[in-house]
Amino acid sequence: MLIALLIFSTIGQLPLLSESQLARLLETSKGEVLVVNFWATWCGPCREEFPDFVKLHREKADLGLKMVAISMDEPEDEKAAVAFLEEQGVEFPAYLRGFEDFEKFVNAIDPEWSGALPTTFIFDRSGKRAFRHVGKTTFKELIEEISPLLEN
Amino acid sequence: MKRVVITVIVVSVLLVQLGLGQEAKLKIGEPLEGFSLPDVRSGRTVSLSDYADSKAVVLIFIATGCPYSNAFNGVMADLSERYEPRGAVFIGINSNKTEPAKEVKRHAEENGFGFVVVKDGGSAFANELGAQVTPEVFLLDKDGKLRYHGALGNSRQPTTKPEAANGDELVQALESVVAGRDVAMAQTKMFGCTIKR
Repeated sequence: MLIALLIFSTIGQLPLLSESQLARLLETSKGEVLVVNFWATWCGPCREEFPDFVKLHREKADLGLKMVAISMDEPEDEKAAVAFLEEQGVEFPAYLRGFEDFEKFVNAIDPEWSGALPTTFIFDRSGKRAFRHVGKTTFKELIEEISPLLEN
Repeated sequence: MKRVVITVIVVSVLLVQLGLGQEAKLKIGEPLEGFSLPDVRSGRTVSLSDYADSKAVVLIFIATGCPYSNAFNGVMADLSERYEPRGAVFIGINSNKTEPAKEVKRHAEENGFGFVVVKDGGSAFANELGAQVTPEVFLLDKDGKLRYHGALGNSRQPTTKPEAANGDELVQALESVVAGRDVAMAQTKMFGCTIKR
């Protein structure tokens, strides 16, 4: 948590996430319930739902929830992305898209994902994808889906 | 009690399927039944049957407020101009409930779209096709069969910058369809904003 905070508040930068790093992130998150949110600063619904992820993380991190946000902003919009994350009080790892090939990047998380924003993926503790939300989610939906996964 | 348990299981299965089953409903090779939607500029009704003589119909789901869609405004205008003499017709479709017909009209005028732009009120047409994002292309051949579905271009390196946007993926598909050949790459990854239903 501290590392994530340091990453984008003191340095003011977001680490880039490549195709292989995304795959590794999924692999190393086994054992936890992983929530991955893809967003962008210009995406209205993304910004609207973002506080729910901050709240979700605050309430459920102790129970084994791992939250990760991946900004799909262009590299030159990184500052705006960092400013938004700071304003939201984000205390979980956040990255900026850093792929060479978008198709490989998408396939690393879900070959059936179109690339729509916002999209949120939920993985159970075994690393199996349990839910994919294309479009805006609600806190209620997230809790209903995640709570049973945290109990396992 | 047993019935409750079964109901819970059925509902859970349905929810999981809803969560995971997002792919397009119209598959490659399948014919589109048709549609009738209002042109935002002229007000007249546009139907697929109006284009029975076309070699190709390019349906593009667009938005007025999505940077990924707006990055391709110039590409869409250029390609429609380039391919219309070769028998391809472009139709822009706006299915976002957040973007009223008036705004869609203004956007089409401001961007100098030479192609028809229609409003899909209630997003019924987007639902029928299973369209998810803007921009998203469905390319039909002369028989109304789906030959290409996906990005306009930049499917490997999506962009919100107009200067970086290209129509390469659509061009490769259009060249084949106009010539009556099979499309080598019939589906590509799209990137964009979700259609607001």
